Amino acid sequence: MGSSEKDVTTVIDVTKFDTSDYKSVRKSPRSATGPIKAWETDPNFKYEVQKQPGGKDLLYCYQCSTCTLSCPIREINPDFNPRKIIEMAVLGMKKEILESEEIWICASCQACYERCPQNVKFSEVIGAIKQVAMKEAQKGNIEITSKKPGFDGSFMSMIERFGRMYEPGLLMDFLLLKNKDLNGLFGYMPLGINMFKKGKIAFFPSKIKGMDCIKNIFEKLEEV
Amino acid sequence: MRFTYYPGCSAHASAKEYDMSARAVCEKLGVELIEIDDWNCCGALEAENPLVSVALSVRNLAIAEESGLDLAIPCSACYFNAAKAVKYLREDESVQKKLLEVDHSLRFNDTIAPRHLLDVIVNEVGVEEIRRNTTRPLSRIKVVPYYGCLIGRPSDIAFDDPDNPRSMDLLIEAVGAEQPSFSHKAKCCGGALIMTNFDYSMEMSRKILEDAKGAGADCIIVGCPVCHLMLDGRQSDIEAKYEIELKIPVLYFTQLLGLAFGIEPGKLGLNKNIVSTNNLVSMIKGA
Repeated sequence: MGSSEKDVTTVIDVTKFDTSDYKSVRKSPRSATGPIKAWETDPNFKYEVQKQPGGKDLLYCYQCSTCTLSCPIREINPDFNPRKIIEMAVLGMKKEILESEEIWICASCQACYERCPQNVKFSEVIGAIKQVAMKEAQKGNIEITSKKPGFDGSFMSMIERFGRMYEPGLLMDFLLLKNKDLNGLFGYMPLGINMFKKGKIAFFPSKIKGMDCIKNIFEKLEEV
Repeated sequence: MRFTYYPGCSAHASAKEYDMSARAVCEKLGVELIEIDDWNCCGALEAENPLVSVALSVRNLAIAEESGLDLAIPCSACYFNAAKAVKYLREDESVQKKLLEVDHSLRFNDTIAPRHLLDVIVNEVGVEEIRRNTTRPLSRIKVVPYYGCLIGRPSDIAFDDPDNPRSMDLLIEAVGAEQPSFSHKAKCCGGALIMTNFDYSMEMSRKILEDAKGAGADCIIVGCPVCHLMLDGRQSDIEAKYEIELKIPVLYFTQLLGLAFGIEPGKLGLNKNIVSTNNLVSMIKGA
């Protein structure tokens, strides 16, 4: 009995945990930060996620971990845990989730979507969470460190300008203008040269005729 | 048999050989592909806003619908987006209303269906027809099919079996090639992360390539330009990063069919694959 009493005191000693630079959802929401501070959670967060397209089935999750065990990213990075991201969303740990790298490393393989026994569709839920993250970042409430939203932005800006993809423009916009990443650009060179030799790179963008519609899509839907 | 055709952006860039071989093979099989006019990019997996993604695909679907023909799509990501857009419209009537407020041309009446080109060839043309057109059986080579994610998953959007997709297996069998067992057929190549989480995607593709190599395959076939760019385009980077030797050609399934049909390698774009296909072609010709 003596030793278990000691364990209990260790668990409740929250002063031992430093939560000042906590940016990741690596550990269990409980063990990494100590007990969840109910007064710091946002009970409305789950409803906010549910309101986004793809987020509506969030609350059906019963924490079985099928998503996590199906995940190919998890195979490489054991810290990535879809089940835990859902748990934290339901608990209202808004800031921790929205500022974590993890929400941006889903490869969209759809294994979790396919296998979820409750039809939560994690790959859709993570899309909904990302929507909330981008809105909060725009308002200046959170800071996103991942490069993924920047890449997605560069990609979409090509469509907004031309109606189609333009790879050289995408690389310039993302690597050079956004990240000043000369190494990244050089790293791309061997494949780029090879592709060029094989006639697989379009030098100039081709713009579609129906740009009015594309303009409307970006102007009217990106606001929502 | 007639279909409208949405080549997708990669058909004009990294996946030129897919477009070339798809057209050549369809011509041989009597499938007329009519490229839709003025199509736009579907947003791939980068359109984080789901409504933008749906709108981009609906513009293309609406153009195809004017002709009353199903829309054949060679790229798995483009296909996924188009099929997902149809699902969104069916499940929530307010989506169509919202789209019409955005632009009057964004109306889809659900009278035609988006179809993956692989689905068209296996399930509309049929394996029997593939066998009949095979003038040069590929019995000298071993081929493994790599499906990736979106051909089988998720099952309410994709067309093949989510756990054990079979459509390319049937094609390999029909052209008479040997097919070693290959456990990574429906694993993810990590293509969506190549620009932002480079190490993850390299590791994911390495596993697939090494499994294929270990199975003794002479080539891998794929039905997606993103998978192809990872397994073919990035193969030498993977060899350098992990200090391994792979040198395994990665063909689009249409290129393999074309070889079995006796179509000239040049017409199939076989000189455009990054990993050389020369040895494979000579093996097939029996040189």
